[in-house]
Amino acid sequence: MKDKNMKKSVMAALLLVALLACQIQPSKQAPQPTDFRTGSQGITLQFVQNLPPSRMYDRDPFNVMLQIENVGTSKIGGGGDRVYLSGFDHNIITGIGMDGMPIPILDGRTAFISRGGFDTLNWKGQIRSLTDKRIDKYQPLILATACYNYETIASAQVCIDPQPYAPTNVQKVCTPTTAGTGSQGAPIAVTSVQVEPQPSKTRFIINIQNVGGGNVFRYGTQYINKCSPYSPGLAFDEVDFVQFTDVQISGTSIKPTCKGLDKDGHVRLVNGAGQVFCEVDAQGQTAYLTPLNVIIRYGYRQSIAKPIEIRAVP
Amino acid sequence: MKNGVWLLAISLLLLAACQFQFGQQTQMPPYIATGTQALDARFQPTSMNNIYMCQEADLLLMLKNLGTADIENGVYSFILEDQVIQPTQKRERQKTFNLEGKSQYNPTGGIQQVALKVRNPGLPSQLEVYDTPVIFQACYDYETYAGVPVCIDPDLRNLNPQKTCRAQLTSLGGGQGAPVAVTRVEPSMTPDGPNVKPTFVIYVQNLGNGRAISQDAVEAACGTSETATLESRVDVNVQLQDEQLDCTPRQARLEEGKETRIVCRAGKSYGQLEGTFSTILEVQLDYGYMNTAVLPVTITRLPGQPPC
Repeated sequence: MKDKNMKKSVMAALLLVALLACQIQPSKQAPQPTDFRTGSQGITLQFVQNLPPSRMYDRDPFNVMLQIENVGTSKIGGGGDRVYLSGFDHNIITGIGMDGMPIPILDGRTAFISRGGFDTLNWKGQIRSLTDKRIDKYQPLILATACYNYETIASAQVCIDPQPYAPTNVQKVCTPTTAGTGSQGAPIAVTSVQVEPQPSKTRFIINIQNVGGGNVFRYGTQYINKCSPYSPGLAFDEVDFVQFTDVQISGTSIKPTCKGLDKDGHVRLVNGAGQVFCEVDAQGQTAYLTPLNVIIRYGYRQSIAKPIEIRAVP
Repeated sequence: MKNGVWLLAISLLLLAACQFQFGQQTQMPPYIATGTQALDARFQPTSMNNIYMCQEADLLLMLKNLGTADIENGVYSFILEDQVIQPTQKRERQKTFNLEGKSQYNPTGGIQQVALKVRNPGLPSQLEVYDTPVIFQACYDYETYAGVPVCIDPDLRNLNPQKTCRAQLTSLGGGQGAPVAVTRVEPSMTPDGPNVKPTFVIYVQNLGNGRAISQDAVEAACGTSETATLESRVDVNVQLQDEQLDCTPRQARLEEGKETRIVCRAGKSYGQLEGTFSTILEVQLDYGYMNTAVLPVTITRLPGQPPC
């Protein structure tokens, strides 16, 4: 009898433990799309550790591996997008081409994919003998330069008031003010949109800025090729230009109204910043909120450097 | 329980003692191409610099090659006042010598001892004490080799703001393991159509404690007291990317305490298609060098000493 009672107690205890442990999980919420258009970088470049090592000997192989990640929101790769290695004497470090390595196609971040595409690029060279040339050491700065086309898509909620100075005291949904847009997951950002209401016409001043830390230049294949450190270089009228692909209000393009663009739709950045003036005819009587979309594309150049030391083997 | 505690304590001690050392870098071989000395000649303290009349004395010198170039077929000689001090063996007065320079296998350089036995043949009767210097002179061919990091920058208009280097003055301190040193190099990218032709102004100076002479005069220099007439000349040879540069002057004259200016022009043009890069300018200076060491010797006549 006692044994039976003991067994029942143990079973009860076990059941209690099982009940306590296996709690009914509340139903998890489905993943929500996040605001992914943030950040001020297009891509990041990083030398893989020890490739190349900080210190090497002559007659060693020279291997470089670069990790490239798309941390922005636009796709890159293909076309003329390339990464170049430069800064060293090709007579001493041989086997590294001057035409660069093409960037593979890397998708940008999206609402449901929080990390963009990434890959590695690999160069293999050979260090010539320094002992034969009686050189004790050679200390170049290896520069990796990425040249690529990118796109910024900025979206801002703007208030359009067709009757901004109406005498009657009517309650309005919104008041036209400057819309701050921050950065959009790209090195060129639409920083703010100033709204200037007028009777039956609303003007927008779109402010853009180079926030990526690199150099921006005109969009196009011929300019991408000139970005290479082994080219004659971009001319003064080719750098610091971005192309306004489109400006839309409620899905309708207002780009033809935009001032400050050249014949190709490019605007120049001065000290890294620029402005474009667009306008829209304001219909109706009451104020309303509507999305303003700005699409900009451009070429971009950014670099990273690594100092190395090559010693002669005695 | 006690055993357990002891075991734990010993384990902790062992763990603390046996630290794993990660990430320690391998020691690099020493960098030997520094300094401004070539031959260092010193009379040893054991040299007899106080001798009696008619006495023989041993003079000892230590020769060290503190530079990076090997000394081959160098000549040394002793200049003595023959009336009062003479070598016991005439052939010991002047000899050739070889001394290895510093290298990564031999960071201290070659060392050699030189001994000279001398004798006083006597003093004039009116002299009780006489002072005379023993002068040691060494003359040899030497070489300075400097690998100067320079920047070749065809981008004169600075269209590319992200460059690895800029063509600017390079100052070289501490010497290159030889007495005639390259002190600074001023590069300049001379426009040549759309390209550039690099020009380098190289400054050299004798920073050693001896005297630079032309290579032709090395043999004749030792053994003569007329060193004031010897010119200080160095032969200049400069290369960039395996190409010889055209230098003016080819034989530079060195002045005491002053830098000498040499202008070298590259024959090859560099275009923007080659990009901006750093490389090594190879400067080779060939010259003769002369070092001197002096030992003052005092010869004393003992009271009542008869002639030798």
